[in-house]
Amino acid sequence: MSEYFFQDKTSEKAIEKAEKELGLNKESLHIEVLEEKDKSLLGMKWGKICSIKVTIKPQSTGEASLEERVTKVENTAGIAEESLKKLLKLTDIQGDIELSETNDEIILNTNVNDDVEALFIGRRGKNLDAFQYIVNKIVEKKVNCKTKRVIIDCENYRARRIGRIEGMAHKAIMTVKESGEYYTFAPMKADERRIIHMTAKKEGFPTESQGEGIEKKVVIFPPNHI
Amino acid sequence: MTPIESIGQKDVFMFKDLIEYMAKSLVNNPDEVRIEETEDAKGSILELHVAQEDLGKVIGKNGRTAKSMRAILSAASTRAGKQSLLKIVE
Repeated sequence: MSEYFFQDKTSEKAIEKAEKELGLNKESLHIEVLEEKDKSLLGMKWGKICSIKVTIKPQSTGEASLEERVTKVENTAGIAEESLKKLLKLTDIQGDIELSETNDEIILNTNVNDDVEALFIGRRGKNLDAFQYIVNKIVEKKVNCKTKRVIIDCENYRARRIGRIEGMAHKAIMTVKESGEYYTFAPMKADERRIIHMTAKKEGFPTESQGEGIEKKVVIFPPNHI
Repeated sequence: MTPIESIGQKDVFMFKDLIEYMAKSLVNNPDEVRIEETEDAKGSILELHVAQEDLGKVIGKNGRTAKSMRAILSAASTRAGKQSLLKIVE
């Protein structure tokens, strides 16, 4: 690695000099102040002199890795699709992946053969969630920085499920309205509970989550409930 | 080797490959990922060995990664018409 030496009255000035000379800003330079000593001529002190040692940071590799990372981030969708494809191949599930992207989500909608659809989705989307979780983990690891969330869907199962949960919420709201008593749902996952909270909120019904962990369930109360 | 046996062999390798792919994609030391498979009458048992520092990576928060890997493995087992068990060995 090449080293450069600069001198000036102050270290700031010496750095400025180095920046000009090398055509790089100080962020990409490694600067070491060697000494600051009094300048003397014929035994008379007149000002100071500062010497610095400058080495160029290995910015070439630094930039490359940054570039690499940018392309990787851009290619998140590709990595996600690739890992899902691999997983499907290894689990012997045949299907086509249809990729779409929103601002914060990468959606992999998979069309699998009818005979494996139920297996791929699993009970209440359990397997779909497992694939989604693992693919997200793989992507996170490969890209090595914050990325878009990968959503794995199967023939719009998730969209259909949202519709169904909204339906359930409306039905429960009707029950609460008629009976004036609270209604408790079966335990659900966080994103599913969220749909019920949102739907009930729109209708002006207070809600609450009760229980812990996987046992967490939503309760809808009558509007006058304190 | 009879054709039936060869299919059985292939399935075992498939499970192994599946776990290996997932584990290697998640850990910091992919070279230290090792899977031992044993097959008995009930099905296959896969023992996953990873580097000490990677144990957390394959288990995950509240065992979520392990749970997901098992769910995917069970889907693969159903496809193969077999039973399988994933053990994560310390």
